[in-house]
Amino acid sequence: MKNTSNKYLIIFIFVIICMISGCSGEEAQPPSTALPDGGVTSGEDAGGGEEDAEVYDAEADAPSDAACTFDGSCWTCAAGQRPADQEQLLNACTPVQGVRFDNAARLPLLNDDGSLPPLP
Amino acid sequence: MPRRMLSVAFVLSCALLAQPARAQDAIPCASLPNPVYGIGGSAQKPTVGDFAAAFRAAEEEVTLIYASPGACFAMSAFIDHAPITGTASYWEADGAEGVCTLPLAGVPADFGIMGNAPTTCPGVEGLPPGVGAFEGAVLGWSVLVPASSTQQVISSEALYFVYGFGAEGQVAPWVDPAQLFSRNGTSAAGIAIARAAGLPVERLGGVDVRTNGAMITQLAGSTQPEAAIGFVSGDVADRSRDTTRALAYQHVGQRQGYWPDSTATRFDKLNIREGRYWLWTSTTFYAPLDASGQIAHPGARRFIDLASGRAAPTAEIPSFDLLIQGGNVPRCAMHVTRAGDYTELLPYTPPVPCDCAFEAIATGATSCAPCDDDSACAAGDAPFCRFGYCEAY
Repeated sequence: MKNTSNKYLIIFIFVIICMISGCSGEEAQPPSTALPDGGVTSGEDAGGGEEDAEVYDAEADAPSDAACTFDGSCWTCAAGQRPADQEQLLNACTPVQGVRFDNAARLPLLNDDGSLPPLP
Repeated sequence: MPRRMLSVAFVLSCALLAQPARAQDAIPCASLPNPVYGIGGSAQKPTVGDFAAAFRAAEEEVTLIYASPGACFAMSAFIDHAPITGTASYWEADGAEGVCTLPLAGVPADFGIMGNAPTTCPGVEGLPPGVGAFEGAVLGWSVLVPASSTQQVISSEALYFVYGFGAEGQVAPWVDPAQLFSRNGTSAAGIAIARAAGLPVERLGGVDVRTNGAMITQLAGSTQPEAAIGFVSGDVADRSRDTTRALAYQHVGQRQGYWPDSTATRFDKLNIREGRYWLWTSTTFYAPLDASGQIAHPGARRFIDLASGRAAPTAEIPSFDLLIQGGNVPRCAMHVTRAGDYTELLPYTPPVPCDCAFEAIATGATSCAPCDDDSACAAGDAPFCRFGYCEAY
């Protein structure tokens, strides 16, 4: 229990420090008592509701020239580089276990070029 | 379905689908301490229950009361001002769920929860004025089979045939129409699977079971487990692993499928977090705002602020732990993002990472070094103390 209390105290102190000094980041962050990636307020004509922390721009912190190569089965990114797009994310080389669904073998109605037929 | 019909449908569905009460008779919701009324998707109900139990145990006791007829009904509540009627769920401090009855005239919603954008709901063109949206944690969607099924994986294309063609889709073993369990277009789950399959939501076939909970019941009780298939939110899937099993999901253009977690049995949500699992959304909270732009209802404000991460966790309401233990992923543990519902995945670097804390809470273990401050973190790879663990930045 004491460790849990200390953890929350540390979190609380951290966010207070963030309120006072501002947390580092590529975009300016408004003062917040929240977790640093807290929610966003929106809504039309919200009566002048406060602007809250925005969704962080992935591009702002990602390397400007992601250098990833495809080895025939998956994408490998050089040290310090990150996948640049969904293709590279979904097909990144990884030791994590995956399972292949063989569309060609299991979907008899699939077109020969892998495209989908129209709905009935 | 037009919105007003949606509202009528909601009233009727509440009357027809009222859940059986606990051993004691259902009590009036208004008799509960400091009730706060919410409505929305059944996908978020387990998380609401976790928070509700904590709020009942808090010194300033609040009772979260939640009706979960479907995500889009939250929009009916705020656009058409449809009251919440019939029955709803509430939770005791020990987490036990009960059913309470609402007044005949119903009550206005103090908050709503959806796992899909408002504009994906039938007839909804946008969020109405005076209603705020507050983005919460990430929640995955799982395609499920009964635990005894031998199936391991499914693809986007297979979902297209299963739910777009039914038995005619010839996707063995999912060719028995009575075993293809589904949701309608008012549910975030139905919208999610339709988007994954490339189907217009109105063309999503299968047997509509109406709620995430009912989906589990149908799958777990199927007499043809190999032929049965369905889908639920990740938090519901995680709590149902004794009777159902998630399939790995292979998206369009993906060379193989992955589970939301690094394996079928872990709880680390690693593949969601690192972008190998496409099927996820952001939970968003909605609430009427007052003239100053704040959430109007104090109890709703307190709940949403904590559940969305706008307010720091407290000892009474350890929101960070509750979200993670419930199967949600705070943004600080994500390494991908997307601009809108089911749009392209993009790399993301959280300003303050919480991977270590997430893993510790979600799995009970982490390889990261614990810390109280930066001084406890060895210089080198992980010199910063974040959420109680040493992180790289």
